[in-house]
Amino acid sequence: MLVNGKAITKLQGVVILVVIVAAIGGVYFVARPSAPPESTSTTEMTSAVANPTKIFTTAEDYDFVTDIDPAYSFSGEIVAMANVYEGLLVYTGGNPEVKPSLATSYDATPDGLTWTFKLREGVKFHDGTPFNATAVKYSFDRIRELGAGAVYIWDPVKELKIIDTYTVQYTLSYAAPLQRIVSSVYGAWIYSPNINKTGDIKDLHDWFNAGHDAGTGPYMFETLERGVQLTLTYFGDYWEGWGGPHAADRIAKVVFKIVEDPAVRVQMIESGSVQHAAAIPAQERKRIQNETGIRVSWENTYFSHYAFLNTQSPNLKDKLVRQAISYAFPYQDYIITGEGSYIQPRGAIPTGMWGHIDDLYQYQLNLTKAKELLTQAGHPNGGFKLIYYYISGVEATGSAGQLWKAELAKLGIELDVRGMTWPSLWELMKQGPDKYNYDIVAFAWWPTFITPYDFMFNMWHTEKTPLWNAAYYYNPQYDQLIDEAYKLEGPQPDQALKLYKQAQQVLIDDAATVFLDDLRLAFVMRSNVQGFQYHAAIGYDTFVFWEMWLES
Amino acid sequence: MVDLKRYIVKRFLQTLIIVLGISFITFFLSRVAPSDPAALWVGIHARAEQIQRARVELGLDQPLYVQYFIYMGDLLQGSWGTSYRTRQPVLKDLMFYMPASMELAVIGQIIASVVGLPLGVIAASKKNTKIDHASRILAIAGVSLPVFWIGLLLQIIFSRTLGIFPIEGRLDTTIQMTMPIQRITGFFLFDSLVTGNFVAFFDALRHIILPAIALSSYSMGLSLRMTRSSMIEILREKYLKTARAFGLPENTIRFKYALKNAIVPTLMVMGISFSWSLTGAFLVEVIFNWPGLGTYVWRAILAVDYPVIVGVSIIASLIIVIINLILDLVQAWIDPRVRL
Amino acid sequence: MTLHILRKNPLSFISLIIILFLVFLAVFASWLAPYPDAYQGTPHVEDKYQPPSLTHLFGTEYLGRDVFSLVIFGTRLSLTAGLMIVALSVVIGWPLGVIAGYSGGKIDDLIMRTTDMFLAFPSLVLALVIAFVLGPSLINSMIAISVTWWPWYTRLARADAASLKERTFVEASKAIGLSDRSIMVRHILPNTMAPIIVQSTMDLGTAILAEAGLSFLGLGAQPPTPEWGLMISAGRAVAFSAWWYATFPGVFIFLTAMAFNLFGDGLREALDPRLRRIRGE
Repeated sequence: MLVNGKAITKLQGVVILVVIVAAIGGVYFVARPSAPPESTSTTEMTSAVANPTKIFTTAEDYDFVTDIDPAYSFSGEIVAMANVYEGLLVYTGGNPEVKPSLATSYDATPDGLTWTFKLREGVKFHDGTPFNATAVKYSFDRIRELGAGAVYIWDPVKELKIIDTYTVQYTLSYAAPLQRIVSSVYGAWIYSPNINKTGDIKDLHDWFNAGHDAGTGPYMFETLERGVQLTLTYFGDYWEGWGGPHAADRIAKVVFKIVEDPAVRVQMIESGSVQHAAAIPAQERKRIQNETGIRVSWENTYFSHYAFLNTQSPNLKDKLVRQAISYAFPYQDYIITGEGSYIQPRGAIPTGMWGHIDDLYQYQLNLTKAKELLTQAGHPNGGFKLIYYYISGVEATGSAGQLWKAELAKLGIELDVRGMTWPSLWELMKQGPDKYNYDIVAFAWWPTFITPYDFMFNMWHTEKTPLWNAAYYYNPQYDQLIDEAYKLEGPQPDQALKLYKQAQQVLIDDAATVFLDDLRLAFVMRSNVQGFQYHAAIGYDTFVFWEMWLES
Repeated sequence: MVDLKRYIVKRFLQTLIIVLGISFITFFLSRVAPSDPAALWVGIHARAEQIQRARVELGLDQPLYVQYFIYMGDLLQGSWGTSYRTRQPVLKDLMFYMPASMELAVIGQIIASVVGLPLGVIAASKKNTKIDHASRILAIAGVSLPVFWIGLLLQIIFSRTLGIFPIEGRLDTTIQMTMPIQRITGFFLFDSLVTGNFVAFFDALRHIILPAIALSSYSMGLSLRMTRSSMIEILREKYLKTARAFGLPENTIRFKYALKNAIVPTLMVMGISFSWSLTGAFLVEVIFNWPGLGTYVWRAILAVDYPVIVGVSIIASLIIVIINLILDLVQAWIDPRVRL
Repeated sequence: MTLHILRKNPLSFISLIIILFLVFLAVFASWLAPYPDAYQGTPHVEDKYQPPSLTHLFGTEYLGRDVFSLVIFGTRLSLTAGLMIVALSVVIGWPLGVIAGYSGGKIDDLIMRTTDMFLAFPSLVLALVIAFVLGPSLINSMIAISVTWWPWYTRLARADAASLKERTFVEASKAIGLSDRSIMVRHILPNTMAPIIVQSTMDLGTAILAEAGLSFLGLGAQPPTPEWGLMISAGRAVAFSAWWYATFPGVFIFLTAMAFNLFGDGLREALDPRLRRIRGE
């Protein structure tokens, strides 16, 4: 070839090519990652053993792992964290509503300000460190220092004292339901204080996210391939043991595979290559639910969809108009499109959760009443437009918008249904009431820890900086009711319920929000999966693997 | 030799400017999106003060140009930032996902060339016959096929109905756990072969076939079309007439002389389609659950994960530019008439 | 003249017929579709996921709408989208290329370096980021794709313009006293039209594919718009029980893209095989 008229020999050309390729290869080899982290458990598989062929594989529908540092964890990784870590108590929602976990008993003074917990003896962390009061204090101090994740659940707590090796005492600055707070699945995990005993670890947060754990739970992180899969392996020294009638069939390993394509997930559960597949489309579920080998289990979750009505937008600031369009949503038709996934809600708290009130008023589709109200408000024939936003890709709120649009059209109201990605939508909401950006916004809510306050405060309490109150609902009467109720949840729960009921009635009367649905979840599993019990408080689709076994 | 050096230096400088420009564009473009990565970083139900603190921690409270300089500074020192979504260093993520994309692109390209090149040659020499028309339709079909549709069809036919090939992933879970492939290059086919893990090799092969076929359709169409038209061109050339006049056998003419010159534009096409396969392949990646660069950057875009978006753009464009450079050099090497 | 050549090539002729048929469908969609309200997204929840039958040729989807009507309406959307993408790319790229090729020197360098930069960019990433930034919608996805496509037309036009610059008629025009701008507009631009037209015809098919791809990913047309790519995306989830929902739009995308590509290919063969070389494809 010729470069500026001079000929280059083939040999020189080859040399150049080789040099370039070698340079690239060199850079690559230097920068490539090493092998995935090996299993970090130092304990051997002791006497309590599970059959190594008992592997539970689940196909998840999105990359649910965000942060597996127990102080930061606040997202979808809960499905794994709830099996690897434990807190002082576990919320079961029955009677009693909490059950002992790392704490065996607790006591609160009548004013609800001092709580004493007795800790369980003989528990070991995965790294071999014995569990005691030091660990409880360490975990508590660390999250407060970092200000990470769900740290705000500890707001009522003034200080945590170690009384003796197996007793800790919380002192609160105002009364709060601490038994519910310590059973939270975000921000309340207890982990080993000895992780960095050699001082080698520079950043604990990075260390955790490399795939390590320091919990007491029945399972441990084994491998973590971000965006691909996560595996857990059982902890032989788990304090609750591995005996029982189904000891031979208990689950030794859990594999979470990330499979974003729904058709592939369907194929995997049908062929049996996974024991559970998440987010199976309703149409497919109907097709396969009666096949031999497949079992579907329906559970009520604490997830709900809400359509927030902007109480400060030009058309919706009139309560009568809001009530009118609340009577224009086709609740029953919407339930039908859900194929069993939706329950019509009553009030703001999901069905089955503490704080859900059975006799609250429920709007139904009633176009006559809607028209009456519109006429009263001065719009007998509608004649205006409303902007409805939902998170693009979410079928529930999308079809809700379509159905609503058809009904509102009969009243002469045009509903502009728009999908938007969540980050952009949230930015829109945070711009505040002074700017008219939307009339209706629809999204889901779920609890951080089990208290109606989590719902009622975040979504409707007056906000100085707009964050979650998408209806821009600023009602001091309402604020007072729920603030008072939260303080009474610990010492006087019945009175608290009364106040929460009142607050919800105010919301309903003000028609600040249309309650679209409480979600039911269909767990699609292979029929050899046994022992499955759903615990709504532990997350939307979390399994407690220690309770389960796989039949041969 | 000096001139060749100067040429390469000039090309590398150009590369630098291009990559700089791309980093600039993506950096500022991604920040135009209305969103708050600090809020996404702390967790979806976080409080306002936490978001504010995260904003400072991530450096997002600085003016844009300061952020850009900090980013470029870190880049030059070898740090590509940390993904807001995976909490991992971007470089580590990139080196994890890239081999998967590369492997898929390479196998796809091989399939495309193995089908497209010979067919192109045959079609050119039998111009305007039925075979020619059939190949033209095949080429255009390849280019017109929506990849997300053909992927689904392949899965339905070969995975679900016939059960010959697996429906997703790179490797069977059981094999991953019982006889894992030692990670040398990240190319499963290469690594398993080199370490003698033949069971895993065949499993990896079974897994890569369907997505590679889906990916190859576009490249195959391009290669076929390009080879055919180049060959037609060249077969017409006068110097071949001379060769024929001298009595050289037709096959020799076809393969020794004509093909050698037809290779050049074909290589260009292969280079382009290979570059495209790296990131454009992600429709295939999503369908077949292939953990590649495309999936990685897609999730990053949805989560407005700035460091990843910028990082992937930079590395992808680097690869494209380097491939172009190599292609230009190879082209010049093969064809003595080409001036660099 | 060109038509005559085309007629000699039966494949291109057939593809032309198909294209005209699609245009016909697009223009008269509201009359041809058996269920015109499907376009509005009016739900008929009782009719969800009906298999193909005499009342619903292509079955129904999750809101109970007739898939056959949706596909017909989709023709209009896809053809318009393809046209707009190509038109936008040409409008940006062509003049830029002419300016670069004719002016030469620093202006040429500047424009071509910018072009190189856009070409080195992984186009899908750029398109996705732009579509995300602008917000998912049909129009925004068209803009996003055009932003990644115009460089090809610039390159094409530049090469042609650069060679045209040397021709005698340009020198003559200069001698008469025509300004550079006039020369570019009156002579160079029209003379570079042929390869641009050929390329844009061929690109129409790919443009439709690209747009369908973005909608498939959720960054293009939003539900309940009857866009083919969007329908395939929704149909994939129920592919094993409601196979018709993903299959028929896919067939249409394929046929449309093929028709345009075949036609463009035939056009290219007919007009000038040497044009290909200039593009450097």
